[in-house]
Amino acid sequence: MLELAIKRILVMPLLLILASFVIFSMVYLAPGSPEATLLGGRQASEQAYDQIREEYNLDDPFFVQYTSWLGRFVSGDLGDSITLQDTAANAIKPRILPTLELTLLASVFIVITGIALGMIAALRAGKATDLGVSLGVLVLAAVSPAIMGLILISVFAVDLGWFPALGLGDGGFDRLQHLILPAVALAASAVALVARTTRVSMIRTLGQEFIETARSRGLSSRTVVVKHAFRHALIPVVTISGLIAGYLLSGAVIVEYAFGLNGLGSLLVDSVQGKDFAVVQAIALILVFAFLVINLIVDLLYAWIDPRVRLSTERTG
Amino acid sequence: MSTWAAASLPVRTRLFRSLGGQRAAIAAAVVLGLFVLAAILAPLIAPYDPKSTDLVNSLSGPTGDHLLGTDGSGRDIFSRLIYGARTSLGGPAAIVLISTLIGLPLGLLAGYVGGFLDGALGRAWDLMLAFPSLLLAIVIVATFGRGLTPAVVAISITYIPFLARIVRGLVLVERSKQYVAACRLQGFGTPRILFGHILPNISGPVIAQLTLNFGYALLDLAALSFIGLGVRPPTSDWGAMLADGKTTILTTANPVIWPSIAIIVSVICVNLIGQAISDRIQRSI
Repeated sequence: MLELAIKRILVMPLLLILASFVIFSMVYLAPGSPEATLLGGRQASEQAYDQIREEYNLDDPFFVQYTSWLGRFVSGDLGDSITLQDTAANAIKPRILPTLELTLLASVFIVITGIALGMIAALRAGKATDLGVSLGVLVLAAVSPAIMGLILISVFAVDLGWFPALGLGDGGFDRLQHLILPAVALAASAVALVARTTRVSMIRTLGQEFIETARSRGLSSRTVVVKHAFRHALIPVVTISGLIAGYLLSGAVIVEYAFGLNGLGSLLVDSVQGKDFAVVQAIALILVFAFLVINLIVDLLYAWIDPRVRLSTERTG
Repeated sequence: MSTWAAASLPVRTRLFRSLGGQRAAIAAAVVLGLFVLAAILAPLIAPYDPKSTDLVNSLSGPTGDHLLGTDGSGRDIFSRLIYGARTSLGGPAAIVLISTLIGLPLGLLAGYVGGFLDGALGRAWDLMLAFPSLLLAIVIVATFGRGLTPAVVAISITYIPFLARIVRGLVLVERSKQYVAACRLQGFGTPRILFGHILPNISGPVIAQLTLNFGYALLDLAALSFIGLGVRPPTSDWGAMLADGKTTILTTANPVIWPSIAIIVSVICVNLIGQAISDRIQRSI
């Protein structure tokens, strides 16, 4: 367990450094000169070109440019936004919290409804409830965050007027109200995935010997399900949570754009559209960092939760 | 994972049969076939030019003149839907093709040759998978420019590691089987063993995966077009139609509903077909 954890923790920074190298190299891979790319292809004076060249050390060897870029990045200097007349760091900072709130709220929806639906379907396997859940899952899996978002806006904001349609609101309860529809839109497809995984896993678990043993010991079926099967059935759900994290970070971009939320995702879209390369690079690196951290936590959690993984590495290590 | 799938088979199969099983898949194939036919015959079927605007009749609901109504610029939604099938279905087809042409051989080689090549490719996939997939596509589009082609290439690249990994896993299982040893004993070269013998034996699960990938690709391309980084207006595309409908969503949902239905129905059909294929494979084992 400890060995596995150390290995994971050591690999993560390595991947992060490689990813930052890829993100940095994009300036050179883009068609046209790096100066032009960083200026977003805008007409610019000789002076602006010189300034960019100095700021990004473009006259230095490639690798020196990269290390100084990474060094500035780590110290909090993310470069300048060319569209916002501000530093990229100032543009990004206020955007982090809304994205965090949106993805966390969506995660809560995914965990609760996904597992609940999967469990209900598994306990009624082959019956009408199970069929209903499976059909629902089939449809939900085909609904993208964009579609779900637009449908929710139209039905619950415009027609019924239960929720505000756009924007982030004023914080507190108002903020929560503004985030409910976006979070549902973001959660929908992942709920399908979690429900499907939970269902299959729970059905399999209920057929295993240790459940038979528990039943034969005369435990009530409620105790068997809650105390014995539930925990065991959730192991595969933990395994897919890394996948879901990637889906959430990608989906947040779409959902923020659909609902006009001022988060990291909508800033990323605006920056790509406005060819604001420094901001695109900064957000990409932040999202990769977040994704890697989440995956690390998932891996460790998985190793900790499943005694088979925990014990096998202890034995061999 | 494979043991899980095998163990859960009886329940899934039973449920799948109750859902209509192969018959549902055939119906799905017919529906998709009609969509493809509509895309090919678009100029013959579409009642209007999908790009011609008519501001006086904008945002109308379904009428006798406009079967599914008009969008914010007064363009005929039915015609745009039909023309939109070209990029919305052709794009994902190109994505599956490109990612397969690169990912399949690399996965075959990594699984069969192993050693340094396998290690190097594995690290490359780790690096690519460090990016959430849509983020990687967005970064690539940011680098090379917007539009249908960059979006298709970007999404194709993000699909390569997934496919290569699956193929590699399948090859690892096949490699130790006797027929491969027999091939080697007869002195067959690596390409002949890989493409002539191993590939046909793993083609079932690979085809099932490619079918599912088509559905994912459809959603991803529509997502990129939705945020304005894929197919650009005035070209008809289901994702771009969603983006267009978003601007008038507070007035009417009609322009959004039809492309949504087209996308959802297509993806469900593709998933049903994919499910039927893997169901068939597992039953035949």
